Amino acid sequence: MNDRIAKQRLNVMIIVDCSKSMQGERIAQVNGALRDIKRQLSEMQDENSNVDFYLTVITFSNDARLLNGDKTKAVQDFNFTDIRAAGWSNLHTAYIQLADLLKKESRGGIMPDFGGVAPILLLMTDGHPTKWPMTEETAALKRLPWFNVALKYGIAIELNDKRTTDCLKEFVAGNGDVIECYNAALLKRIIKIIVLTASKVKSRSSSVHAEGAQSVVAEVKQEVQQALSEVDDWEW
Amino acid sequence: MQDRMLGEGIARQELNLLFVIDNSGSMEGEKLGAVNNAIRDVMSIMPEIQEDTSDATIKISALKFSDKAEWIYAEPQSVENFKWKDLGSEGGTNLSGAYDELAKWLTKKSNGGQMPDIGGVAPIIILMTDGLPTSYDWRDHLESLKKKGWFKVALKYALAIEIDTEEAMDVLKKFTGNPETVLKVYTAEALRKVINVIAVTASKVKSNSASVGVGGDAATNNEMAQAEIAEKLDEIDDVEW
Amino acid sequence: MLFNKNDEIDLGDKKVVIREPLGEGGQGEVYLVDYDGGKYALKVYKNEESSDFRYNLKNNIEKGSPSEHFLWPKKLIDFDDGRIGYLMDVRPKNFVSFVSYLTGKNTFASREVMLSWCINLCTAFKKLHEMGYSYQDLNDGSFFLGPDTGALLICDNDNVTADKKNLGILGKMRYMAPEIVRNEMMPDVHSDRFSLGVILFMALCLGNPYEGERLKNYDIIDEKAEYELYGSNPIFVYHKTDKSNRPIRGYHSSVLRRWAYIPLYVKEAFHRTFVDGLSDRENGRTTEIEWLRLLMRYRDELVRCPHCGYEFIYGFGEKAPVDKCPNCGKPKKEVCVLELGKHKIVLDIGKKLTAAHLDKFSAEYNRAVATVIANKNNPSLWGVKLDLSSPVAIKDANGVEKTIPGNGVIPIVRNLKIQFSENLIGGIK
Repeated sequence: MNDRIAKQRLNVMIIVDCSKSMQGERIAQVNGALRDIKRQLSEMQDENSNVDFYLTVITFSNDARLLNGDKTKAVQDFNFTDIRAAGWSNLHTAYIQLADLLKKESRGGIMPDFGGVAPILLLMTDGHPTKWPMTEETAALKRLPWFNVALKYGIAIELNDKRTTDCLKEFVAGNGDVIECYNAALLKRIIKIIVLTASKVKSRSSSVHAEGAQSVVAEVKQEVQQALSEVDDWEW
Repeated sequence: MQDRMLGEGIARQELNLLFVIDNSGSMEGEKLGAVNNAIRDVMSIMPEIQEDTSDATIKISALKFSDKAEWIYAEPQSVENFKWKDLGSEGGTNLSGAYDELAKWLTKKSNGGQMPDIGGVAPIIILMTDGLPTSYDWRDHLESLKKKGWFKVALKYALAIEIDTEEAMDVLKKFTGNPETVLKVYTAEALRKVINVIAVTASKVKSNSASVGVGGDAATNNEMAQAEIAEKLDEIDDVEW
Repeated sequence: MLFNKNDEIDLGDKKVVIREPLGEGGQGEVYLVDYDGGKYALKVYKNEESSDFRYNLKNNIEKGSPSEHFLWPKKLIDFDDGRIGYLMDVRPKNFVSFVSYLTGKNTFASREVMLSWCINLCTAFKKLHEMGYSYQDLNDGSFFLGPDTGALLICDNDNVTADKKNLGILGKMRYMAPEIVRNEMMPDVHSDRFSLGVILFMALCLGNPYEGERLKNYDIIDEKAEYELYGSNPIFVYHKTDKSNRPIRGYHSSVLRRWAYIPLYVKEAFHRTFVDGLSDRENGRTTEIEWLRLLMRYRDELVRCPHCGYEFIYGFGEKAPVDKCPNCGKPKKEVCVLELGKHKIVLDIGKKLTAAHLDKFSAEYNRAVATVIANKNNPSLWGVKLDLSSPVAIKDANGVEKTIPGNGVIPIVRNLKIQFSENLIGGIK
């Protein structure tokens, strides 16, 4: 018998570039990170009475796909199969897929019909989206309330391309941050820091102070920055 | 139900319970928090205490004092009607003013006080203070108060609120006239014990004696009550006396 | 993290040595440390705290813990950089978080144990309030429990202040009293009492008392939604007349299932706090001492279904008689009942009499002084095993009297009278 408190659903949606350039170290780091995230979010969930974590992984190369075909799945039930890299970098197809999901369940999406929590979106790419600009696809996303309230992070993987950076910045605009990963060997740790920190901060619902608290976004940003600076310290 | 046993036409006696509360500036913080809490907790279980006191109706009054003494309710209230509103702290500690108000209260109803004109049960007075009066003539006012017959027969207790000096303790001892009725523990259960023992014993003693007037009989009555109480209090080991 | 393994903090006379990180919250970090030959937990505040906060913490340390249920600060530490922290005892391993109970990861061994935990909780807050303190930030993260014993530990005691004093903390949404959410009052004893009601409701029903159908009005629970749900217009899910916010079928399943079998007098107590207590914050909210009486009564009337093991109430105070197990539907077993003053105790195996049963002036609501046991050789014979310092006298239906020593066993037979003390005679029905 499922005797437990009813919790809200916190959707964590990870959008992974799996074009050919991601082959090798980069995709291996992503796969490693996803496995760790599943385990750690499952543990975090047991010690949290506010939210249950639900995972969605969208991969894109020639076209966008849902990993395992799952639109969304309770984190403890998510079974990862390794993502393999090949093909183009059709980011716009991922945007279309994402827009499809960021709707209420009753309209075919994955967001709850009532009482939802703003989702966490993480987009990672090593650059050069095939289609540019993606005016239509971006505008379609920005019309969705769930997209606008989402906490958004972008990871620029060993990227030296202003166009892609701008693209990530536009994606996270107003409600998130773009993190640069200069060294693919650190990718796994950076992904984990972002997803786990954002999940932790968004799920913990701290006590309120009379002087007012900083926004969740600001809090996540601060903690992510702090954790990342520790990565840097350790590495160099 | 007990009324009927007492016979027709005899009203239930009133048992007056009076809290005298110091809410001066020095009581700010934990002290007043503890006092507010103690009174509300006692009120929580007052229906049980009333049940144990079958042949008297408990009436509750409260007098607060800081710069001046003020009644919380103009008239004594029944258990159901007495609602406690947390006191805040303010001003000096005019214990003299409180004693003067108390003296008026301990006067017959026909003379403007709250004591019955005929008969009656000795009231219970519980003083709650940290013993730091700022009215230095409080001893004189206590002397006048002590002349009141109803004060003599009243069952007087004092709750020592975080007192650590002899001087402060002495203020409370002077009021009760008996160091053994100055209490340092003020949990609801301990207070219940005090009120309960007094209420039960007082009403029992009362029903044994033909009439209780101010003066001779009352003093005897009070002595009997005190003796019984003392005996019962001996059995109580988790209250520090 | 602020510290690494083996970092040393010099306190002049003694040293604190960092062993490992134990946890991290919004406010600070907690480490396992060595100090003065023992293991302690060290909490360090991330930000510089106000001098008022420091003074209050110091004062609380000097006053000492209200009861054994609090993981109370023991020693204040000032760091060179202006930060402060304190040492406290380490939470023993056999305690699990209240949150993990809510999420279904851990459960209480029985309903009786759960009620004992609730009774511990009320005893602890009663004690805290008797000392003139208020806790100010009761929420799901503050509590730990022994799943088999009902033992309680309360953490995060750093916001405890004298009643009506405030250091700025308001509390956590979903636990805060509405007047605090609306910013009309600062936390005090009365908002503590509201939050205590929420925690008890969560313990008993596994849900929040204000989360029901009205959630459907909101696509997203943002600050505005929270303000309305918990602040400006909170409606208790089991409000007697306003039925607009009942638990949602298929979503709040545990609340729906559990509320049905809670005794009426406990339901009334929740209704007082969550309905009457909204407008009358000082006298409308069920107090700890009232909870203690009700929860004790609830525990006293629990009986275990011999067929499925489900624990349910005998039903003394219910409108409709309880004659079958709500879980498996088989008939309720007939058990002797001990009537003792105002108490009615269903003498099922394992049932305990506490000090508070025998002495109405006792504040020991969880100290067992007798337990119902089955005879080893003949399990159909039941008795009350005493753990008292003095003997009790019994008299059976035929008037035969006997003295049972303080550590003896009273046989459970109908119409037996038990004299526990001069004024306290119980009867088995």
